[in-house]
Amino acid sequence: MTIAGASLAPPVRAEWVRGGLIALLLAVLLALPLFLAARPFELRLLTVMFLYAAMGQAWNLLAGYAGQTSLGHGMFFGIGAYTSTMAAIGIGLNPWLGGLLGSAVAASVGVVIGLACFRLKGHYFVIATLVLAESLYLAFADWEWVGAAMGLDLPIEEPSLLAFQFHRDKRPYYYLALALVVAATALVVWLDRRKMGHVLRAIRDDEEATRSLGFSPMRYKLIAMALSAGMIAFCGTFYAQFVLFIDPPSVLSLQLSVMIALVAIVGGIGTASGPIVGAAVLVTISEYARIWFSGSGRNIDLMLYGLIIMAVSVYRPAGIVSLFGRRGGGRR
Amino acid sequence: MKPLLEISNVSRRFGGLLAVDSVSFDVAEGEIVGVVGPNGAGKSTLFGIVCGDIRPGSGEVRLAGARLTGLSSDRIARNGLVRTFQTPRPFTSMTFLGNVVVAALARTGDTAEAKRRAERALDRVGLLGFRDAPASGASTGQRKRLDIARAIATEPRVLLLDEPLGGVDPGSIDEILALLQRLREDGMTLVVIEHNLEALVRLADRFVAMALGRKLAEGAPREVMRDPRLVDAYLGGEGHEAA
Repeated sequence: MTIAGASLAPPVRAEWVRGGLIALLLAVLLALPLFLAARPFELRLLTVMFLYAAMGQAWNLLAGYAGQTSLGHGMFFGIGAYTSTMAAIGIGLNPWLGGLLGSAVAASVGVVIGLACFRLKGHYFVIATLVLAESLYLAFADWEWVGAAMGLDLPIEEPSLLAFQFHRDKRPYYYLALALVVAATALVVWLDRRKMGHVLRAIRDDEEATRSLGFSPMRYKLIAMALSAGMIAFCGTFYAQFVLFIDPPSVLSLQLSVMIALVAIVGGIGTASGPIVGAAVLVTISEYARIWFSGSGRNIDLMLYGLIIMAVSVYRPAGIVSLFGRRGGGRR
Repeated sequence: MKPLLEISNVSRRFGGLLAVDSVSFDVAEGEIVGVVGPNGAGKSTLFGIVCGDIRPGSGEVRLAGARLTGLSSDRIARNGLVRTFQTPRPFTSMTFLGNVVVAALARTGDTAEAKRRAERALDRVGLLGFRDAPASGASTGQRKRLDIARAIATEPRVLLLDEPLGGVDPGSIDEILALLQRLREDGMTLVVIEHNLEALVRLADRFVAMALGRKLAEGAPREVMRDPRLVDAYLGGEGHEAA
């Protein structure tokens, strides 16, 4: 057992170091709003960054762990945003419950899509998700009951945690978004260490071999899809409560689906830190590009993405986090 | 005593080719049965049918009396009948241990327990020293043994081995034979497809010989090997050229 003993020593120490760094980062992030009360731009930047990091985690669960790359995850964001908003407008449902309802609807839609599309391999699955998301965009842009292309204004409430609305001081949104990314990361790390994570990674490596050991790949991929869709839908509800207005371009666009995938890909696919690093890099670039190149910012930030993606795929195909890894890439 | 695995009148046609033609044989608990025959005899198709990857056109397979035919392959594996692949298929992003931990998780939800069982399985196939090495770097012989470790970690009752000696260097053949012998001593039942008949004779209790989809002969390995029909099939005798 000397082999086991020898190989155990360094990782245990590495765990401590990693734990310490995470605690330090969290402490800084918790204290930061104290200095940002008068800096709405930075506050918003970080809030959006957390939101994308949480969504990147959710996307990564399906793509990075189970190997099913989706370019249609924006649809779950839209489903979450529209479900909670319509429930608030229609029956006055509390947005927290609306968010859970949206997650349930998105998870169900995800399962139906999975049943139909998981038989498609590789690029065909990507194309199917992309087409489905675009179809949903067009349907919502034309659907009067949900405001069509005009979009929906959320009913304004007295600001409180229960109402999920804060008007003057936006710092509660920051903390809620931080809680979202912490929860999403914790869920992914927890699943990764359990049976679910092992089996999902096996499916990504070789679906047939995994099946031969007694696991149903379809069942595991559907669970990953449902969790992933549900998490993203809750982020959609958060966005609706944050901006207080939704329309198809803001919550159902292709750009959103691409961005969700990119934060995980650029940061490091199949790793828990990847989406966080990816969101930090991409959201910062996107928001600053919008200021520096005002007016034409939308296009220049896209060009910058293009450059970063090319640089990452050429020099660091396993993502930015692989710069810090021992073996330059994927997980154990 | 009732046989553990019963294969009854199994047939499968691919287009105009009758790949498996009414094959029947039984395997008793604790037995090692060798399935032999030239390329194209239908051995791998038969394996595919037994483990659920291929639906038979007719016939049925039973494990301990329960019908397996019609069940999905993952369900059949959970019922205790597990296969290895002719070309091993390790999970290449994982270590040797990681590969086997996945398999052990088929029987336990506890990852710590799965790790202990995986270590035992790696130890049994003689790969414990490589536990933390990436599986992508494994040699052919190591891949074969890793495949076996993964299969036994799922605690099967019947293990189907598809050419466990194929492509393995001569020095490792004895090791793998000894390993399979130990598995049988532990109560596992083995069905082995193998082209290395000399090696298989030393291992198997019984041979089932196939050619052109049909069962030619069945019995003690040395007798089956002397059977003129099998010799004929290997040498491509006239009786078989028509098809």
